[in-house]
Amino acid sequence: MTCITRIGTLLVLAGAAAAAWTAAAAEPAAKAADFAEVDRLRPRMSRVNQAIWGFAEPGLEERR
Amino acid sequence: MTGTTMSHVVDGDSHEVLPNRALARLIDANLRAVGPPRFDDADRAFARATQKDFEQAVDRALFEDIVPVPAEPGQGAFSTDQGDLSWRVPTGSLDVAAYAFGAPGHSWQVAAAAGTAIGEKAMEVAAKTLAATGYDLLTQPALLAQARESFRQVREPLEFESLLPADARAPGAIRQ
Repeated sequence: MTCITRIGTLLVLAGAAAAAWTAAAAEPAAKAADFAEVDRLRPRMSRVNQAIWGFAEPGLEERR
Repeated sequence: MTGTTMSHVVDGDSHEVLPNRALARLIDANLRAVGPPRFDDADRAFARATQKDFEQAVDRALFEDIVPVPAEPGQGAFSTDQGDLSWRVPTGSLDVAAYAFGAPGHSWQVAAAAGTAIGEKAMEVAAKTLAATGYDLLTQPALLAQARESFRQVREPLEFESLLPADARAPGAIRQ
């Protein structure tokens, strides 16, 4: 069904109120921690990526 | 005449993706904080090698910039089941360069790059951007409100009409 692979999809159930866009830059320390966590998980993410890539279809190895 | 007969079953429907400017701007801000994938010469060389079959030459191996959020949302020439979700809830997404510039979707060039550092660097950028965006949305209710309002403005004038027959049932198996 899906005809394109898009990296990263975010679904949001919204709340209420309103504010400035600049608020997005808040809490840099917490975000730095988020980024560090992604860095820590990089080897695991790579292993998962390689495992997925090893399957026939993403590896373009399908045969009849 | 060949005497051929056929029948068909409509077992899927895929609406276009409804844009959400609030989420697009938030994702854009976080993507800029993270930065584009840091490709190296080995990545560029691999990408260049996969571009050799292209009918038209391209001026770069990999896209390494960040595209600004467009003034008006566009509609890409593809379908995705993300589309129907975007009619139900505020939806935002981002694309990160994970294969050679100009490679057609679902091609061997795309598949090949996904298993290399190119794909993994793109994955890392996407993960960080989504994590930061999720953090913003969890900690700043005003941003959630903006996402909901953006969704309301786009969705409210529209009527969702499924192309599936009223008596359609989910397929019993994939690729029957």
